[in-house]
Amino acid sequence: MYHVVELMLDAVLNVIPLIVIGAGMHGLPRWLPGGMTFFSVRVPAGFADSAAGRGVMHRFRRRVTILTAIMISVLTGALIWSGHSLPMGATAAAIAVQCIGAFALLAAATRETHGSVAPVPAPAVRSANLSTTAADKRSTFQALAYFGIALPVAMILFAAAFVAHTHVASDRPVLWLVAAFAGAVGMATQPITTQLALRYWARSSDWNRDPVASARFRAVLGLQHALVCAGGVVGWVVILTIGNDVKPAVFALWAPALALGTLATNSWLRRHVSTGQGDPMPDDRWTWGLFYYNPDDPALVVPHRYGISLSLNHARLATWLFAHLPALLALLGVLATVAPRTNDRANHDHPNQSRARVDQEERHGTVLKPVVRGQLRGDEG
Amino acid sequence: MPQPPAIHLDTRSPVPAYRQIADQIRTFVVEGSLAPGEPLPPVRRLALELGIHFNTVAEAYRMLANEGLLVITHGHGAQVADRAVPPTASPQAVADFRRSLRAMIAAVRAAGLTPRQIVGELKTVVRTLEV
Repeated sequence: MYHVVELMLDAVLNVIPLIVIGAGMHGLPRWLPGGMTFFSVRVPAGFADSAAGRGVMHRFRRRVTILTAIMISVLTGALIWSGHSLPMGATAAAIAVQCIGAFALLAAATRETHGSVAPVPAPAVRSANLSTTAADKRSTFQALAYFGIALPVAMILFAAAFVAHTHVASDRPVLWLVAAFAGAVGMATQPITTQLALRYWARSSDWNRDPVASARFRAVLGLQHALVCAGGVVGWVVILTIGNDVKPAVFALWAPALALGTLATNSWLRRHVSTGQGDPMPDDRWTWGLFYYNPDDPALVVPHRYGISLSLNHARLATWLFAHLPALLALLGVLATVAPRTNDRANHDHPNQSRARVDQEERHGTVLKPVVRGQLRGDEG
Repeated sequence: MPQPPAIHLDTRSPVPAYRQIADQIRTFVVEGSLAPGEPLPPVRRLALELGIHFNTVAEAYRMLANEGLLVITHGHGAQVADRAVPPTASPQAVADFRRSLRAMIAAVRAAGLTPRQIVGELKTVVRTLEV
């Protein structure tokens, strides 16, 4: 019963940021101070001139950026609070809830921004003013400054988690610090590389159908995903090795598989990029605005319809072979590795104690009194 | 307060985009719409608004810098060069101009303009570009 309550709490903590994101996408952040603009992400050429599309993409991306930072902070806080004491199955369930919620909210947001907006062709004659503004000098600095903000914040939060964790279970603080650093770099890398990709490669590629620039854009986003996955996986491997006595073989295989998959993907897309005849990604090829299926598009990796991160062309066999199949195998492997241990030892033998606490008892050869989480933290604080 | 000059890019034109940009900025500089020392927008911002790759704008800037019309400094972007004393045209520049002019005059003659009309147009254009 205690684990059920714990799972519910953890799931709620994981869903809270998604609720924040959903609220943000529906207009809440317009109450924020006007100066809170981290980036200068622009709308594509032609889209800004339409009545429906004026400014909507800019606001949308800005909200997502801000709220992504909020989500990272809250999630990290949740990890600190829980001290990684949940069974792996419960954590996986919470993450699944989070992913499903994220997809639902992004689908809603994509419908909001694109569902009722007809595609606007770029005008043949385009104009640009030659005046300069202060924003011209600030935008690059802002993009770089975000990395300076995101990384220290992530490091502070992870350092707090490190302290909490070493008090609870770990006797290998150096490895845990390495894991924290890898995770922090991975988290901070994702938003900054996305924004840099959007800033330097996105507008003049996918909206204007320049094949070379398009290939660069997609390659950079592929690299971004590789960095994020590698950072996250390395971090989790170390965490799991220390805290939960779970064989990390699946994760260790997953990281190089992802890296190789990314390299293969980049090589593939350089040869199979869209040639630029017509709209390369028409709206009717997007299911719910999220899943891209276009047999006429030779591209394998495409940018998301809302402009952040990347998606896959599900009409290509390689999508299923390189992306979904390895992910499915990895997920099955994780579940097969984790589930029996979690059920047999943590839940049955010690129904009121966490996995980490059971490990601690076995290492020290002692049997501690069952305690609830609050008492445990209070004893150590 | 005078409005800043604007660049118009015609994607249907056979003239390459970088040439269109360079030609218009050159015209603004020569006729004085862009004063010496005046900064130009960053290539990425201009590329964004025109819907082209930033290397295309950068190529136009480099071309004008080679002509001595712009000064490009790292970290400060492009500025209109101070051309208080216009440089003396080289024989090669004169020869290029004559060749371009011949081709252009042949084209407009084929289109029906008389020599008198052509001379009149040339005088008008030259007067507008005099600093």
